[in-house]
Amino acid sequence: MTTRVDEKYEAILRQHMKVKSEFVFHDDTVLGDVGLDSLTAVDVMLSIEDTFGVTFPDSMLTYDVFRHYGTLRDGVQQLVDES
Amino acid sequence: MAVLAGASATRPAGDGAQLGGADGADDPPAFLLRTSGTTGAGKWVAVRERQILAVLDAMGAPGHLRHSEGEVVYATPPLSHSYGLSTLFETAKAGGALAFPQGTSPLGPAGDLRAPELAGRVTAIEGVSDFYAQLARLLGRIQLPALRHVGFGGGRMDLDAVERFRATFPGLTYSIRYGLTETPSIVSGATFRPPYDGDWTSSGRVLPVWDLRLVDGGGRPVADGEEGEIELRGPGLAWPYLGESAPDGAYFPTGDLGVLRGGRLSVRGRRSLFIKHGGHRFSPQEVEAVLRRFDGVADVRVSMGGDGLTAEVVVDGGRDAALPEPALRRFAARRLPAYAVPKNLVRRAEIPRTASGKIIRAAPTAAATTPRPTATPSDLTPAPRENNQGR
Repeated sequence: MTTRVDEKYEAILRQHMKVKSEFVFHDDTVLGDVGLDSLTAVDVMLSIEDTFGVTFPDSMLTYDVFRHYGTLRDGVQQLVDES
Repeated sequence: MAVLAGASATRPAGDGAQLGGADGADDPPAFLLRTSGTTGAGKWVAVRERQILAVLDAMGAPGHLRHSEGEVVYATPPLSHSYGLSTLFETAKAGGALAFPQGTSPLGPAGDLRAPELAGRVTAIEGVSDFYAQLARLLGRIQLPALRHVGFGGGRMDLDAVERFRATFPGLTYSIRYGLTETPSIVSGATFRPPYDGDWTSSGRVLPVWDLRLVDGGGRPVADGEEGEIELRGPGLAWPYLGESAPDGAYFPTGDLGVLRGGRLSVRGRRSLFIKHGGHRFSPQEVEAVLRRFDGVADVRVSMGGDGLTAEVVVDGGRDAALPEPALRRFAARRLPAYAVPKNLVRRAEIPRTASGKIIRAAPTAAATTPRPTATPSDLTPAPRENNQGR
């Protein structure tokens, strides 16, 4: 059975992004618009890796993956599915 | 560029006329950089080739900071900043190679360094403490087999980051530099080699090209070992500012406070930022550096408000994380003199910083959230002259 990452993933982003509790993430939410910069990206990456027991390969440490809420979530899901 | 040849250059006739304008056809500026200046208002610094060469020649003296032929330096400060430009000159004159962040990684310059073609070749890094704090968190996943040297500039040395580097890369040399936009390259520098028994709070020996003195509030030179404002003059000084004038032989007042002992300089911080409290005067950065070492503190700003000495604290764990006030107070009380222990601890979502990473110094508020200020043109200019202040 595939483990869905959605809840824990959203919790990680809420922990590090500058959003209010009532803010709703959508797949096309641009993470750079809600506080993702290079410093925050490191925090998010390390939290995701610790939480899900995965490691981001170099091929996934790209702006394309980290651009939208949905693209990063899909990347995390892929890593979990492959682990 | 003639300066990269490492020798005094003679300009072809007519070159100066294209660049000199009001600055003189035979001594035109090579670079125009913007700095906040001592008054806080933006000032333009005209850096001339002869000034750059004067300082570079002094760096060749034994015992002073210098890069070497064959080095590959990963230069993270932008070329619009004096530190970045200085790294370019120093490395090029020494015959080394430079590599710059390409902006290809969402993790910033630390992430760009992961590129195998780069990581395997880099022998030295130059950067500010915020960059090293981030890079230190990624050390477990970055292979830097050729790394020999880590250089700090543009502010205080992050000793926590140094500890992580020392644990991961034994045997590296480290350097710290003190310089200003008005001084091409550096005023002073120190290098630390194994067994690392030097004074890590020192900014090192003053380059012989500088006539440096420390003065009290009345402009009188202070004795060796006493604190005073750093003033400079010399062939490397790019001052007065564009459009301004100063008497011949005048010393440039840097606005930085320091202590000089036996030719070694320790920079304590910006005079305008010093706090007077409890009968003492101290830099808020010294208090901030201590509080940042508390496990759980992500960032901090210290200031004197109407209600006393206040530390605004960003806590690890996001917006809902609680401020560990009792533990943080005990931590501060054990490591700081009583007059420097903040009376008020206020949790904040973030500390406002300029685009170059400098803390914006303003009166503290009790607000738990503060939006990041929108970058303005002034934020995108070279960082203020708040260079290394040591510890």
